[in-house]
Amino acid sequence: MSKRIIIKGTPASVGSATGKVKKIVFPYDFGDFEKGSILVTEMTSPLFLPVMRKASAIVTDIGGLLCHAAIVAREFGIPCIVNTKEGTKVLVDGQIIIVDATKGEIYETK
Amino acid sequence: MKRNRTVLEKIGITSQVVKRWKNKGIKITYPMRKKRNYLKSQDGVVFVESADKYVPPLTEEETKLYIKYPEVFRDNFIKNVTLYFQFHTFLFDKSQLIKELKNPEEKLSSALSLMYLFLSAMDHHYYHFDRYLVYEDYPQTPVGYWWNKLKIYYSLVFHEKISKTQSTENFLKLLSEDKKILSQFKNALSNNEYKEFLQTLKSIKIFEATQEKEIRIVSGYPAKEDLLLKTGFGIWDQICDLIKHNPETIQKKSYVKTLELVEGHPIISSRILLLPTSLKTFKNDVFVEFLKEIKKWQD
Repeated sequence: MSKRIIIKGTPASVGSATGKVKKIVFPYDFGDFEKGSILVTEMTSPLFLPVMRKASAIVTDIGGLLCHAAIVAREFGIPCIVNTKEGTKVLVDGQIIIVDATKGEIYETK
Repeated sequence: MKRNRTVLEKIGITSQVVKRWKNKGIKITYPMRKKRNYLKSQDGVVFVESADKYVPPLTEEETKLYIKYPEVFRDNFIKNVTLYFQFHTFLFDKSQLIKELKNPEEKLSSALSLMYLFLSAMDHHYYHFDRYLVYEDYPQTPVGYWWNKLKIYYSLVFHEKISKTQSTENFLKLLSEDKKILSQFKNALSNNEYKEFLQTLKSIKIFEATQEKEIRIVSGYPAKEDLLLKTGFGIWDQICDLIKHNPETIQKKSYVKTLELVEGHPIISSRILLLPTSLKTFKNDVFVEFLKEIKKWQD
């Protein structure tokens, strides 16, 4: 399997995961979030808690190491990359990606 | 002579009820005021850079207190967010009674009043406490002060720099209190330094735990339904429906503009609609009744 870096960000919770992108942008629709999907959003808030539990990794456009997504991800043991700046623009719903949250890199699988 | 009840009194929000909430610590500001003297970091960035410009930030005294005693920040924060959660639960229950009011003007006045109470109370919590949890890049703030110290200790031991855009596996493990990483600090630092390092890490964990506790309180965890979402968007939907179906409640010349507003982003539109300039475009009865209700909540 070859890998190409799609986007980078700040590692916020170590680990890696492969899964299908599921973007959640405003107005929030949490309804069809499948377990194991990769949550891609601008930033999380308490409203996201139910889907964060189901996510295999979290990717956010903004935030730092003490942002909501980072803390919750470390608590749940989910890989998390924050501050990708344009993850919600670059990543596409349904796209299979690899999140390497130790390096802060997101790869496309082919 | 018995006086007429106001619109919110008709759904059970009497003067006694208002007094009770005020005594508990709910703060409502009308109109939302612009605060000019924000604290600034050395690079000139205002701490509340993305916060609502109408609500007050922490005072200098509060900042000093919370730097020295993060646990006091935690206790005040949790007390405040718990109160806010109880308040928005109360507002949600009352919003279900709006439909029982007799005419569109009364319905609209009460929906606007409940929305205003929801947003104003939230502002006082969110921008007075919540925003400060993510100001790690500003050493003048409580979280930033301890975060900066933690980064200094980390650089001393691991010779790596941490920034907003750069973190390392070891630093993330440190935040997770990994035993192997902690033992490296113990070996590398003097006794006094190690003691102070542990105090620093403990302070950061207090701020982290505060945010986690807040998440549980605000989201109503472990309930499956999010009350914050249900309350805010629920009241906003009622306002939108009332405006769409009752054009006579708004001055003719402003109706098209108001309709555009209710079609927009709910979070932004609700703010704009509740500014005095927008409220005055409603029919006089609607605005006067709204004002009567909100003034009761003023200090």
